[in-house]
Amino acid sequence: MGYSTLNIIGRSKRKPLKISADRRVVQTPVRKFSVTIFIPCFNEESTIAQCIESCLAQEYKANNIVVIDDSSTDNTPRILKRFGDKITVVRTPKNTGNKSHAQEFGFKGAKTDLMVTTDADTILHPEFLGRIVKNFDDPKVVAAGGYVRSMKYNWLTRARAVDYVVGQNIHKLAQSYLGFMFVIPGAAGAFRTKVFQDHLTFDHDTITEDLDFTYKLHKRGLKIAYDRSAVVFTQDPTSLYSYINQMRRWFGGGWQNLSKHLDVATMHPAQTLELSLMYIEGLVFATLLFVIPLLNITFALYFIVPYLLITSLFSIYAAIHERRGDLLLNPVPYLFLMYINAYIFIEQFIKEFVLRKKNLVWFKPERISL
Amino acid sequence: MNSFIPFIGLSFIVHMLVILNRVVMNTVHSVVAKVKGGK
Repeated sequence: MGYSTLNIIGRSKRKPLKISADRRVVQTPVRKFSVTIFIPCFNEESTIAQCIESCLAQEYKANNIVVIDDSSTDNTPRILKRFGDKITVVRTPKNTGNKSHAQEFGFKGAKTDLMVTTDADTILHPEFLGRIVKNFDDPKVVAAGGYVRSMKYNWLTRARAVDYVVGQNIHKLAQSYLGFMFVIPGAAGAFRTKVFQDHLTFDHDTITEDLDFTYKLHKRGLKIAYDRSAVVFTQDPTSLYSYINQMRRWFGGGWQNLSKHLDVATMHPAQTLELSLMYIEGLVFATLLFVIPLLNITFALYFIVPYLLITSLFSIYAAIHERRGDLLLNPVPYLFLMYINAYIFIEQFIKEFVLRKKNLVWFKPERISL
Repeated sequence: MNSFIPFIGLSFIVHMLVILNRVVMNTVHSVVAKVKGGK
């Protein structure tokens, strides 16, 4: 697949990001399903235009692109107007303050066979729609998740890029083989509209609605496809403050959904295995990271040195996979971030799972102009 | 939520084994299919 068709991965801080599709390498897919792309947004003036342009540049043309403007107060409405009748803009009466509220508002009008969700800080590869839609040739598939790549910016996005490579090419791939894909990413998700309307409700009681939807589909034993060839590029946090807030939302949402859908863990052996690996091992590992250095500093070195070696191997793998030499610089910052992740994992376990202090406040990270 | 950041440990080993099992099974199936097809 011609990833180089988008000049996003090789982006530096100074060079502006360009999007251009190389149409020579792509064949127009056969149209079988009608599709609506939904983009919820709130004050996304720095990224929304590029996101919409990437939706319009799809080889497989969407029937409708619906931007759900959650009453933005910046230049977003003016930017949306520039696209005229190429897109449909739905504006909430007042700011709902939460992505899932905005989505619920916009999804009501979906009439196409499929609905695709993405985020305003995300750029779709020109082949994304054609590839994600192809998964629905299998009549059993009710939803599909694509592959997310992190846009290059600084050391934090570098660590995230390695996470995505390992997470999606090893963990998520194995999960899909076992029939339990953990989460359909909100930035690259597709659903049969009928199934979505029949089975998925917006409960607004967790902070990660995409995980909530995925668990609900698993509960009903419905088939979810994972397609690594359907690629989107997303903007990840570029400051430590934003990173910490995003991890709080992801881990907090993870624990909220686990307590909400605990029965999923006992429905199928693969689900029991996956959730145990995810949460029990996560807790044990996170605790060990802090406890071992307190007990014996020499033993801690025995723990940390192999860990650095493993992260070095991951970084080499990611560097080759993404064709990015800068990912080789990742291991030491990755170790630092692992301690932050471990702390947040335990913190959110106590807050959301033990004390049930439900935090539903949405934090929107700062955006970098695309 | 794009990826639940994995901790490196048992989950990594289990998932690598799952992938390896799939690769081996696919190879075996394709070899068997070729052998059967050749007869």
